Amino acid sequence: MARRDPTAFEAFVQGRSPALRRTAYLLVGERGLAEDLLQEALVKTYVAWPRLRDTGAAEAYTRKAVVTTAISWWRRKGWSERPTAEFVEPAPSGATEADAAVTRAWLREALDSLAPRQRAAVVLRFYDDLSVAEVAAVLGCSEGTVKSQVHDAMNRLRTTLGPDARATWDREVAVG
Amino acid sequence: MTELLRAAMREHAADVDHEPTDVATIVAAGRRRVRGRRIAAGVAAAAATGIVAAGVAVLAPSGGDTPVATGGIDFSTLEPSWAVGEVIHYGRDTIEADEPVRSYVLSARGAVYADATGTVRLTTGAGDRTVGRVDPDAAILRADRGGDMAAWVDVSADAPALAVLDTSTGRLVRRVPVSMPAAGPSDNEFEEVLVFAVDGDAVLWLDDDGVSLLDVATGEATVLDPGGDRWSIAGARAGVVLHDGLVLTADRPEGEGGDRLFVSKVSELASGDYALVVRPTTIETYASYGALDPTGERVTLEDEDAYTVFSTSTGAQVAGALDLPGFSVGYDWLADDRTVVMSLPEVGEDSDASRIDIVVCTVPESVCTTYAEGVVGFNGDDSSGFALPIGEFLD
Repeated sequence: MARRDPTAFEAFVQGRSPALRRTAYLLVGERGLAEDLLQEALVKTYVAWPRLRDTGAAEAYTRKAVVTTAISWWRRKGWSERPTAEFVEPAPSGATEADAAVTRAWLREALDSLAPRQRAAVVLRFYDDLSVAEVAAVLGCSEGTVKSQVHDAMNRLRTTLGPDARATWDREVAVG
Repeated sequence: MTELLRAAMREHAADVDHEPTDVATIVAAGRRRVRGRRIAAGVAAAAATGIVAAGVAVLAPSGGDTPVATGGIDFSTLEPSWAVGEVIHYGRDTIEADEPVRSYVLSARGAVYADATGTVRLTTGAGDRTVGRVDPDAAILRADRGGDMAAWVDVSADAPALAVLDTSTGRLVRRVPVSMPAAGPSDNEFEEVLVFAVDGDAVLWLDDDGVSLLDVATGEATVLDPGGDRWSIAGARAGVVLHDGLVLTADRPEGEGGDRLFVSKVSELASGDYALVVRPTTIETYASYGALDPTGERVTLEDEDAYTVFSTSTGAQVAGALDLPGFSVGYDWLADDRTVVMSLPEVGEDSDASRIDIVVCTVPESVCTTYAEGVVGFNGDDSSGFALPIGEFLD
């Protein structure tokens, strides 16, 4: 029978956990829950370890486990889309760096309000820098669905901005 | 266009502390899951996700059940079952076992259970009969829910063997020597011998030769997967096998990770030629355990601890009750398209508040009703006394 290499698994966990923990945190928004999520994903990785060809495959596997488990937990816990309580406006108007800082802070809150799969698509696409095809593989859906999820998420983030914050957003968009 | 969003997420993610990950804890949980079924580790898993505290505490049994009359129970009429201490509940009947039940399984003829010492007994409700011994640390038993056969890795003698019991007669009908892994300083959880499933005359098990199938009628054993580390079986019934990671196709020369299960036929696997299984149904799940219905057409999975039912023909989810509590796991089937579900409706460190219900759900309507309320409770310091007919003890 094939052997399980405990040293390689430990090296993988220690090497990749920080990044995976940050992804988990962005997905669930709570440190404790993110830790639980990461641990659960790593346990799943341990179970699958003999079938994972290399570290790259293992990281992809763990990331997928983090995302699908998070979505499942959301579903199980009755998670639902949370409305953003009120528009957030950057101030003072015209102070672009301050605007951007406030808008970034607002975006962090707005991200938490996205529906689970939208949020996962945004985190994978723009934080983990995965391609659309890679995001589709993680989420188990088509590339078209990923594009739609990301598009809808971005629209939602933008439309819940107040006018000034939206202007900041649009300036960023224009620059980007 | 997305730089602002990227920056926001980077700032947000930077809030996370860079704590070292406890690899030992992960490995311990992984070992448990490799060897066993997730449902058996369900309490610990639920605790890990903040659903329950930890541990199982025996509470007073629910009222209303009656001791079984002398002469036994008709186990072919499918009823919800669970055990607390030495009492096995079967529908509204109860069986008083000789010893507290650590793990048990059901055939159409009786219950086969292991006690804390590993002694295996057959009970039909009209007395117990000692039939073998298992490793008490695992206490893994398997049986054909709709048939007569039960199996386990017997350690009664010096050399462990695959033992097959005909529960209709109480006699061991097969005892097959197993290949034990060579002793050595390795860390391979697959280096053990265990029985995956019993389906009619087919017994699927793992030893050092790989995954094998025993035809109980003929005594012939066929090695299905010499590299048994790539394959584990989550369930088998009515000729349908639910498994993971099998080497299947030319374009998928290596086994998949554990994020899906495949559905095959026993008849296909028995050839030993995986190429015959060209396009298996795939079910997207991390579940390590599935309870197949009597026809093998549907399976209830512990999919992320939530109750779900999938079609083995299409791989699509066909039932699941989102209104059930967070930790709800289907573990058995009744007649008339109904499943039996273990459900934790309350959460907390107080065992009086956190108690398991046995729930029956219709498929595909997913209408669930409580069959037995508060059969056992949770607190933080005990993990004994409660068992489900899944052939493993609960953490």
